[in-house]
Amino acid sequence: MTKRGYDFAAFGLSEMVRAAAALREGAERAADFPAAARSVVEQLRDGFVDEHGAPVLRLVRLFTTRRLADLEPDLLSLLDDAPRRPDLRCLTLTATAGAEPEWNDPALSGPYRVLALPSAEAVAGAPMFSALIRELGISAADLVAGAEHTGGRRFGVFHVPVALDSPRVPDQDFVARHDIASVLGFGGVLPDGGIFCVVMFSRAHIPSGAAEQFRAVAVSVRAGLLDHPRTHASLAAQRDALREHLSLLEETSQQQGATLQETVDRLRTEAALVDTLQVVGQRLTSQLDLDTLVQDATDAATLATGAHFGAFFYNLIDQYGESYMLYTLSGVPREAFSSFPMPRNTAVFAPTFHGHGTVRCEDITLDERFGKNPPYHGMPVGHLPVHSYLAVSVISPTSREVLGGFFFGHPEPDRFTARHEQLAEGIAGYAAIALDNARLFAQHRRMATELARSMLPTVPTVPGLEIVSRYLPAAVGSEVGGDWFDVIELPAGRTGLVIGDVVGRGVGAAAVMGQVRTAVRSYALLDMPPADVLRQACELANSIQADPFITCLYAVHDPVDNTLTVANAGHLPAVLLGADGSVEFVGSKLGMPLGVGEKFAQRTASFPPGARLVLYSDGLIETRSRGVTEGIDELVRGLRDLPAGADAQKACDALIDSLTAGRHDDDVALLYVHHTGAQRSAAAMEVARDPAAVAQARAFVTARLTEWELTDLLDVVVTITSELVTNAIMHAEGPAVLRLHHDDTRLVIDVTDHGSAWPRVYDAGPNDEHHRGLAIVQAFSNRWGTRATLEGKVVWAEITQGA
Amino acid sequence: MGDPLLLRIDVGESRDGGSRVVAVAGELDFATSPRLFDAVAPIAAGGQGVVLDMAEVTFCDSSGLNALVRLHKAAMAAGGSLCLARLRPIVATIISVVSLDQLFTLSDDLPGSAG
Repeated sequence: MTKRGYDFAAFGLSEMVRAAAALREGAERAADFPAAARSVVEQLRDGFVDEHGAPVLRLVRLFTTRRLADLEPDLLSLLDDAPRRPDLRCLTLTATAGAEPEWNDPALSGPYRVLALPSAEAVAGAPMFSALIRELGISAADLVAGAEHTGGRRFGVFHVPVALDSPRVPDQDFVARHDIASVLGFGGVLPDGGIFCVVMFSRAHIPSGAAEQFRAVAVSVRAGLLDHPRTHASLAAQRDALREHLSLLEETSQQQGATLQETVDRLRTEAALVDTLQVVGQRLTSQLDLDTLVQDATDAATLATGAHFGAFFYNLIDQYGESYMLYTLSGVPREAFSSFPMPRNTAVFAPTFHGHGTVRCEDITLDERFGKNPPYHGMPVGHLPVHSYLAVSVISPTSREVLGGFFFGHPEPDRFTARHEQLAEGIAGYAAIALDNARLFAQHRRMATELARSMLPTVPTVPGLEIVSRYLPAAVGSEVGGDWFDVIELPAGRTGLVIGDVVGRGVGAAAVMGQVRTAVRSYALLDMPPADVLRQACELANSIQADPFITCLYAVHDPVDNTLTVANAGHLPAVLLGADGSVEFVGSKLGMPLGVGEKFAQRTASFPPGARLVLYSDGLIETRSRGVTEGIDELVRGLRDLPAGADAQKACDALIDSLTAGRHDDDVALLYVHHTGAQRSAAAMEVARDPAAVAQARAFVTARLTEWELTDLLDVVVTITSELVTNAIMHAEGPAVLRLHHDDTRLVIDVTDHGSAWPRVYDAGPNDEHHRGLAIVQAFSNRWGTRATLEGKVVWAEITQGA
Repeated sequence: MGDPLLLRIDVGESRDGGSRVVAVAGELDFATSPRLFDAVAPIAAGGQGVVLDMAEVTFCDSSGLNALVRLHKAAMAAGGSLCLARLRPIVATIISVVSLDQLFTLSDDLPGSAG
């Protein structure tokens, strides 16, 4: 055999082939039949070992049946009381090999050396031999009668997996004393009619898989023994024997092949099951969209179970905390069920909705739970026929709450196997995880969206400007973004427009955004020039620990001269579309992002009636498949294509849709400002540094107000103008500019000068000879103020009408 | 300094023991107020009572008020008085807005007139 030896626990096809060949060769090389038999038992004794290499076969014996007439005299002498028929069959011990020295010589084996078999009862007295001949298909009577060839099979194996206390192993004393775990025997019929039988006593357990291999071992051993004919075997008998040998080997190979194929099929099926579950699981658990998820799960489970149709009923909780049930179907159109009410906790459905385990029925209509509940007492009329029934609960892995149930039906009985059940349960498990995820995600996303929305400003109504704002949270992910916009009503009819983006997502980005938005708004309301607003916001950004990267564009629209004054901290430029279709990018290269750069410039662009301005965040134009430049080009095209007079709200939605293809990966913020110019009057005059200019200014204002049919405001406006212009002439250097602006709601007078002296209201006493001008402005206007410009300042006063 | 057309000042005859009436017409502002002060201050400094007839003053801003305050102080310092008579509503409003109605003596009529 082999130096390594064989292990019964791992005795497979290839071990069998090697062992059988070695046994046959050993027998063939032997000098005669007894030597061949000895070779067989010794090889077996030495060949099978345990994990330490120690032999496990305590005793191996080879018996053969022989005619009484063929027995040697010393054997004959042992059969005192047997009938002296020449044909009497005797079981003789031909070879023995064992752990003890005396077990290696048949002559020392006492009563086992020879046993006469004159009757069936005598045969029964050798239970292992009896077991073997039964395997060979030979009855004890036929054996006794010398008709061994009546047996159907030439080879046989008998196996006693547990030798202790087995009636098939009579010498229990031997079993106990030598720790015999299993007994294995094999044998066959030789051409001369003799039967050979090998019995192995093993202290190691012999599994049935290994025992099965010994049919082929028996073939080889028989072939080896055939080389030593005890009688003159005919050539024909030898040829027959070889043919039999071959055919058995073929048969064994086929059997082995079939077993192998079966194993492969079984493994494939199992692998397919695991695969199916894994694929479905992956798909389901990565799906956060609830509708897609439940349909996917239902389709997958219906397919996997081979059901005629499947349904998935699941509970959802709406925003008010109320639970409600929805369902998906697979395999049948929705109409098949739309006329029926939702399933209730009937005797059939309750176990599933209560999470009491899977229900699998060969035929649900024969189940004792079926038909118990009114009103239908079974399936409602028109229900698809169901006999095979399988239902699996879907239970949340986090809350243990029953989220829903899968129901599968088939019109034929007994369609669902244990494997189908396994698959359905597997898919239900994944569906539960996925549903949990989807619910948590939806909750998270709702909160994030809520947070983002709550931080959005209210867009004021500004006369002459049509303003549309949009903020869309990213279509993917659940985290709130850092985009924002703002529209700020500044003094004197001016409007501040802000768009910004705190890079990053999540609560951190949102919190930074909230701070920066408030800062920009506050500085803007202080009427700082745009560049100063960003400079101050930058100071704030620098003080934020998170080191945020913030882009922000701030534009101020002044309705008097129809200008936009823009400062930009690294944000994408705004698009200014003239009424004539001309395009200007406003705010390019004016500064680096807040927290990065320190220098901010501002620039003024003309923004006449009819023009449109679009501020946007990068989410609008930048996608995975499109760069910024192409995105801006597309935005410009989209703006140009907007039909004149189109509804701005709808136009903005359409614009966003076309730019993002409805799938924005990032937040989208948009401010669309259309200068309608309606109901607006403005006028300006230069004021020389001459006291007489005060009267000229009053005359100018009187003329304008008369033109504008605002004579009821005349006294007030003339007085205010007189004060403001006087101040400019008294305190400032160089010429000043007086401007007058009126829209539906207010009239604004402002005077721009080059002075740095900041006007203050003093509490003038009765005897004070100065400081009454601003007190008069304050008394006569609804509000007034001063704002710095890069060159000086503007003092303004506003009179609201109809308020 | 200033456009003479915008402000006319007529200083009336001195009456015995009575006030002197100065008729002012036009607009009182940064340009014209110095002229009112320059014209009336010598009279006020003489200790005589002065009545400014403001009926034809169509406009007065803080510069005008400042001139009036200075004239008032000059008159008081000389032991005299300053009365502002016949104010137009716009001017009366501006005076009350800055609480100078508490300082000035105001009159709807010209004192000493027959009416």
